[in-house]
Amino acid sequence: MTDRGEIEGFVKKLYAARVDGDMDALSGAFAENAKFQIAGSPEVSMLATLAEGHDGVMSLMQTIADSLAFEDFAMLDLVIDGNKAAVRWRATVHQVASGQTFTTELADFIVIEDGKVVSFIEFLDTALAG
Amino acid sequence: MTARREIEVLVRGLCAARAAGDMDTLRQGYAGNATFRIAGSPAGGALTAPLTGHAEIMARFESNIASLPLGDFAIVDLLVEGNQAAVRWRATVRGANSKVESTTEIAQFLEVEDGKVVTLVEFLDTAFAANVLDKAHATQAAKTEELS
Repeated sequence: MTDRGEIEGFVKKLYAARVDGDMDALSGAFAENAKFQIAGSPEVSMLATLAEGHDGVMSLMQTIADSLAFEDFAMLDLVIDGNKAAVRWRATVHQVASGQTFTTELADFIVIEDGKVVSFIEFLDTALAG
Repeated sequence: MTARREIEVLVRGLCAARAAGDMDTLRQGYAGNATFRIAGSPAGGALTAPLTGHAEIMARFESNIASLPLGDFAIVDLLVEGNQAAVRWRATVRGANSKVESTTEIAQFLEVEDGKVVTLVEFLDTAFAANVLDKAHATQAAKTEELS
């Protein structure tokens, strides 16, 4: 999959699944050898992490879906170059455990091969996230 | 409209200039009406406050370069489409007034017009940045107290 339209369609479905917590759709979107990383220093941010392999990524996706609910999602930037996409997005995040709600902005760098995500690197406000 | 190759060269040059503390290249690369924002909660204070205009942005770069020297700089990813670029780069950060040194990764989304950056939105490890800045400020305060 290197056609721009196909990549754009794939990415938009991926984010719809993430916002909805649709685990079946997410499972189908990540490759067996996928990795998902939240960029940051593990010494100062508890969210900085790296999940590798389909099972590891899905386990992390499930944890995120169980802990956070997303509302008012908006894709602010979508830069597509070959089989890579960079996405800047904003959402209101509801923390299930604490009941806290905040609006925040994130950035993701995604690599797609054979119609599935093989690499997903996320940047978020680690000071806000804790 | 700026050509893809031109945007790629501009972005690579600006990232390298930021890491090297090359203010001349930074000054030339940003438009007079440019905006710069580090994505983050307003609770981040000055770190996440939006900046507008060439002078404000250059002042911030000068301050960052003075307090947080960067080393071992490398561009990890660079995407260009139309007049937009998204870049991911890595560097070692060392507090100028402390011995703290760590590797960190930064993501930037840029819009380019007439060969200059008009919009820069940056994502960094805000928890790490606050930590390094706190330690740098604490070391500076201790030195100031020693001298007084």
